[in-house]
Amino acid sequence: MSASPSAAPLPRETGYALLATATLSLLPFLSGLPVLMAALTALLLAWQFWRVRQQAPRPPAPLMLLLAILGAALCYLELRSLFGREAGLAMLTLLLPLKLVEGRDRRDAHAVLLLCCFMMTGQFLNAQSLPVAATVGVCALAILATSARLERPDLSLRAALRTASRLLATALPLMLLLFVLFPRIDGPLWRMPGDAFAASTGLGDTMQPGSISQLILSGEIAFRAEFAGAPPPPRERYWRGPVLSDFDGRVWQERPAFTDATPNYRPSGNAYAYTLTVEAHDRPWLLALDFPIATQEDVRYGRDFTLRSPRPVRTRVRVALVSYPDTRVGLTENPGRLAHALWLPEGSNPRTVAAGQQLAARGATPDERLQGAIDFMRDARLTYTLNPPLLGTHGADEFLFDTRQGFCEHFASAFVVLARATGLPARVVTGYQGGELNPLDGTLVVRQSDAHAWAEVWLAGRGWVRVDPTATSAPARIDGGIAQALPATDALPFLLRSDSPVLRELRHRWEALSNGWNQWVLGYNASRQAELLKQLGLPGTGWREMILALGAGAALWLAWLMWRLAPRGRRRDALDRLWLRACRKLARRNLARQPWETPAAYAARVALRLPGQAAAFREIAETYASLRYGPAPDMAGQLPRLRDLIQRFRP
Amino acid sequence: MSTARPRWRARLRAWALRRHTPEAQPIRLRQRRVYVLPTRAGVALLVTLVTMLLASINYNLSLGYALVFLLGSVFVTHILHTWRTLVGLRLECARTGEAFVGGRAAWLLRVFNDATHERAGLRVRDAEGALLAQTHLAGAAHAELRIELTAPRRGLQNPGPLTVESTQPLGWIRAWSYLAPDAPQPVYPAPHGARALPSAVIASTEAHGSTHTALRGQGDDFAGLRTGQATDSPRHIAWKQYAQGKGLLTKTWASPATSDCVLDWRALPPALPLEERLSQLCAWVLSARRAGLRTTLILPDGTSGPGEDAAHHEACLLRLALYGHGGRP
Repeated sequence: MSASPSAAPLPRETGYALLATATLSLLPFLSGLPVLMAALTALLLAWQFWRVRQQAPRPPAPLMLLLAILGAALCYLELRSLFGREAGLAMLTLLLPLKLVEGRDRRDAHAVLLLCCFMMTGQFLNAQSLPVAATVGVCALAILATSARLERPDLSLRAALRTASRLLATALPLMLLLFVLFPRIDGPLWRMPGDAFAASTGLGDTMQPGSISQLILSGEIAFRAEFAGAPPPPRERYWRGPVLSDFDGRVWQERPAFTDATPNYRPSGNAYAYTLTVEAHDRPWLLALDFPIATQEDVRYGRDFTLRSPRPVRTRVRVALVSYPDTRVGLTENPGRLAHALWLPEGSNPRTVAAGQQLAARGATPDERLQGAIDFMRDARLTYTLNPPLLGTHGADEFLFDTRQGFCEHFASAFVVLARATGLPARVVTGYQGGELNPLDGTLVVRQSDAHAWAEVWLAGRGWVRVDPTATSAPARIDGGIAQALPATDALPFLLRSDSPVLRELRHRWEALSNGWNQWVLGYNASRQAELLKQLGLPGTGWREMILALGAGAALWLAWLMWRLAPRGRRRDALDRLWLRACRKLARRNLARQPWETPAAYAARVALRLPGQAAAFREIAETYASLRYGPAPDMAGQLPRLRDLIQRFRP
Repeated sequence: MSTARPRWRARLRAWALRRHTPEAQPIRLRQRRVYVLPTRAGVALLVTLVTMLLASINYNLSLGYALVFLLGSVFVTHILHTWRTLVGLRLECARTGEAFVGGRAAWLLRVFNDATHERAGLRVRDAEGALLAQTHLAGAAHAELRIELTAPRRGLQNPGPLTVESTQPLGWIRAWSYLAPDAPQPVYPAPHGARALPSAVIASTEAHGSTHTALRGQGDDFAGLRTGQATDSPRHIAWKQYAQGKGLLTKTWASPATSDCVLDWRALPPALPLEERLSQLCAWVLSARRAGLRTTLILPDGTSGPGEDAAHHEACLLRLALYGHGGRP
């Protein structure tokens, strides 16, 4: 690569190919960019198109600098930062077209292609779904084809694509090998920029009116559960999330969590074994079915019976669990915690508190008081809706006595206030309820739209007992899921509506496929790797074994490739091999055939030097010539005869 | 790149060619003399891949790993592809044309692809890394490349060391090999000198500037017929004989101008320096050849001629080229 070919401006076709490749790798980002930046990027791409068409020279450097500053300013204005994941990606999406417009020769083109590679990695930060993988595959193909075009401008587009796809196909086995065997390292190497997981959705550690109904609108998958046997009936599918017992009259909040390495309950009753695959949500809870025992070590058991991961769940995690729904928990609850579960802020929700005190006066035992509270809720004629009216300061009061329309969070919140007023320790539990069984792969898919809030009441001798006040007013929510509980006028994501069987089938198929993808491709981490290697029968799963296996596999691949690429001449057929054997026999007598000699000429020369063999060799030469060059040779009949002749030929 | 880091390149080249300079022909590029290293674009790609791998580890991007591994595997495949573009290539080099000091010396480099696969993007560079020629070879094809180098000194000049390279198919990897083919091109003295050719008859011929004196000079006598050649002017073809079915013949004339012309070293002033003296003699030999004169060249180390054919004139030029060199460059 001396200066001469690389400094020359690119031919027009190569310019177009480069522009197309850059556009392809930029497209997925454009929709996520702030409007002005997206407009600037699109403008730069259009400018480059014009530049290539007109073969215009590169714009002056000060103009490029100005544009770069403008881009950075836009980025700062709209995203309030120049660093971090989102802003960094936005800057990269600007840098690429800037470099494209500024570029002139082959070296600039190579720089653009490298930026494209980088953009593809950036794209994985946003999504790693199957379609994204397909897009990136196309992008990689385009990058290789453009590189080939840069190297050989006379190559047609089709030939360049063919070169690129052949290279990709050859490289694929080694890539798979590396993917499976390259030692995986878990966890971040350095601290991530703060905004890295801002976009994750999921339950928070507080609850106020509206926080769950927002989640409901998202059809995103929260987690999947794969049961070893039959899954529990819908009524028992309570997936436990944060437990909220701090109440300031409006907002429910989680208490600082104490966790232990072992559960503080003794499991009993029915057992359900399953594997949970939790999507990243940037919080530690693992949303297990009540009440879980994990079969692996790196989980923590909260004192509020939540299952937690030691670190926030920032990538999809898998946990193998056994849950015992009938377990009694909290039989010997800490009195401080119970006292806390009775506390109500002074003067908040006076009407509900008064109602609770009335119930307490009528019912003597805690059981009677609990039943009274449940009956009170049922008799209040409450309606379950996704669009409840806005509530003021005394949320429980207004919900129970005035608006009477609410969502699960209103039900749970009002019930806990009521129960606390009757003197029963109670708290709000948030989590997910239900889930949909995918008939294709048998996994239970739980979405954000299954988010739910319910209540827990502590009774002496029975411990914490689950009470779902929503069930009393909208039993369909618990048995049939959100789509059946809501009036048809309420807005629900299209795909969640269950009335179209075709759509439902399509959705199931797609989700089964994505689940396989998630489990085996995206979720392939250090532990999965160890699991797989053990299954493959590798003696150990340490780094040394993996590197050895990798080396062996790579050597095999290399050998295969060398064999495929080995420069080889014309393949000889059986006839030629026989003839060469005869020639070799003569060569040993110093009568090697000269390259220009025809069989007849060779036979004549041999006849002069070895008169005794003349007849034998002439027959061999004539047979060979007639088989090789004669019309309609009788290979099947004559080849064995020739073989015989040559075998007997001893010069 | 060759221009950027000439020193280690030159050292590597000297090492690579340590045993055989100049090499016997044909030259076959065997595995051991083909070197492979990433180009600047390739190094940049490797750096990018490492960065991408770190990002993938940090953010646990499974597909990020996959992409890095894919491009890395393509890189390895690329090495093999580039390497085999050169390995097994057969080259033959032969001098062509005439070279004079200060002018250009030319060779024909024949490149043979004996394999069935394509060898694309072959480039030939000189010792300084300047591009001399490039070609693409299909399977089992060959090409003829013309290579021109400056001829700085009188004597025999070999076209080396040359570099044959390829960065196919993606330009990330460069495979190259060094050649020093044994194809000596004699470099004749630069023809200049104002002295007139030492032959009175020639002077008048020169004045006419006729280029085919052997065929038709002035005041010529018809000398006979010879077999026609494709380059003969149609005016000299013996059409009458052709019509008689005697085949294509060309008329020739004997000219009194083809008389002896003696180019004598001693005829030049003794004060004239060696190279200028040789230049003058060279200029004379060229004019004599142009005029088709019967020439005798007398040098202190011997006499050539008399002779008048092309081979004789070339032998004279060769003597001038090698004068004082003992034969080898």
